[in-house]
Amino acid sequence: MITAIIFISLFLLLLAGVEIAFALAGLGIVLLIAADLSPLLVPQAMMSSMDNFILLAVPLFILMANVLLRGGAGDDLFNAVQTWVGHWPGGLAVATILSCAIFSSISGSSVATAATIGTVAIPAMISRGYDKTFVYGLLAAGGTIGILIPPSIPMIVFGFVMSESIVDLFLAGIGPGLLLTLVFVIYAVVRSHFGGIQGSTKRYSWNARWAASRKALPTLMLALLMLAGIYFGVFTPTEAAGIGFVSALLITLVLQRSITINQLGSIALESARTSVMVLFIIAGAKVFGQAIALYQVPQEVTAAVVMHLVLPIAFILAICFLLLVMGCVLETLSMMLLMLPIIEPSLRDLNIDPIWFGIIFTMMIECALITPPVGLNLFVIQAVARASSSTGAVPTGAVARGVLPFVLLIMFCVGLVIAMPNIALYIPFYL
Amino acid sequence: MAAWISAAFFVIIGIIITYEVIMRYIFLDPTSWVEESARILQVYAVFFACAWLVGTREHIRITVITGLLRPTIQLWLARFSLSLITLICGVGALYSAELMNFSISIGQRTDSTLELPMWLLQVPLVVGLALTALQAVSMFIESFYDRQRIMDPNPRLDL
Repeated sequence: MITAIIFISLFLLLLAGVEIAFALAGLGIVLLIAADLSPLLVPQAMMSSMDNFILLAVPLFILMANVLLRGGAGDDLFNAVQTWVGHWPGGLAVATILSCAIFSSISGSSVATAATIGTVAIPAMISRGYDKTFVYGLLAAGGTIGILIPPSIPMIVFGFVMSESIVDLFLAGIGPGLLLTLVFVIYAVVRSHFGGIQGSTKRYSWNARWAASRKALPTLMLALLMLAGIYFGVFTPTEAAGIGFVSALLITLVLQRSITINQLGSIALESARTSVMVLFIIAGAKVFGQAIALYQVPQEVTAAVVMHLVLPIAFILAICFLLLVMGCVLETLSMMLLMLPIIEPSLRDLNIDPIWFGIIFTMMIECALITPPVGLNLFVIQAVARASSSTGAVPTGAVARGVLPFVLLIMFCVGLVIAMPNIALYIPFYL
Repeated sequence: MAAWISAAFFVIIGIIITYEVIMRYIFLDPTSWVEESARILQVYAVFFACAWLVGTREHIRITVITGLLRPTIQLWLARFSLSLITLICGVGALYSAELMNFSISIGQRTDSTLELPMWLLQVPLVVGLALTALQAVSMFIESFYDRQRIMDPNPRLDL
């Protein structure tokens, strides 16, 4: 009963438009005071959540991505990839997906990936006759690869909340990330072929290909450096993020001179804004998490789960369904921070591998990012398309219709990862 | 001002963490201060910038339902939200101050190599939450003669 009251109150606050961080922290404070527990737990929980080395990776990856983004890394990547595959059937669509996948290896955010590649790819694709609905869907879905291929901000949060290795999560994301990329590429080629879209560019000469690739090379090398450093244990994800940020500064400020010292201030400010948005929700969620733990909510939920969902697979499918439904109304980070502390004991009781579960969870979050009405990527693509369109307004419905096939494709890939856990677990545990 | 301090702290964190890796692998002389300093800077950066985001109404929230409502109802919901922020941050600042006083009274220090006074980590909570409460109060009052100040801006898209 108390569990129901807590969650109904929280949903009412969230749907009334109260800032997520404050809704979580406020409810946590009320619960602590109602239980006659020391309210000093509130500042302690908030401070301990931020006094954390793992979470430092969040602002640093955001800084790195913003520096590269402002330095034109998205344009360079897209141009380089399209010189290689642009002449294939549906070549530009393939180039878009591959650019998203490559950009994902330097960006931990789905929205940043969709916005960066979308800015270059949307006008290019539409001018070559691609169906607008398909283009919008492709970009919104392509952006979701950003949180599956490392680095990934949701995976850092998942690892932090569940006390799991961020390195294992990052490595486990590579297989499913590549699978999703492949499935999207196949769909793009098939859709272009049967939809009668040529949409390809001329075949570029080898010289042109190398020239375009050289421009994108520093970004690719940076992605490889971070991934290899993390994989071989040379540095932690947080250190990789720090090195990535400083290297991105060297590439854009010194090597390519694509940004100036004067631009650094606005880049830092923009990154601080995004970082604090994310981190403050985590601080609020820590207070809420501590309060519900004292009320034994996770234990109650676990007891109910173990009684009704005996098989791990049934539990995973139930969580997937819940994420799909909740993803329609809740923002992804809050969904994660709300659910994870509650289901964590159930995972242990049902003996489910938390890294495998983390990847499935992240993939389901990808669906949430592109399902209306609260799909951040939909709004991003709408805004990017509007900015690059001569006709002005782009209806949300057009973007939402475009993503539908991609939601089904993501669900298909989730099914594959559930059926074959080694798609995720092979790289971190068997390679 | 707080926004710039926060932004500068995040940049410094990036630089000192890189410095630590260079010291460890190139000069074989790892530092003892980088990790803790970076963590403390993060606490300062996050709590100092909190009021700034309340002022621009950029903390993440769900507007799918409120966006469908009449502007007057939206306005009152925004005022309700600001009242809650005032209350939560006011209470949070008070408890943080109480915790800080306690830490000072017993001379509590961090259990790390630097053994810094604990109040150094608690100051940003007191200051940040108090500033956020004041910011929310000021916006609440302002909303009675400038409604647009607290109405929904375009959703932020840069996460």
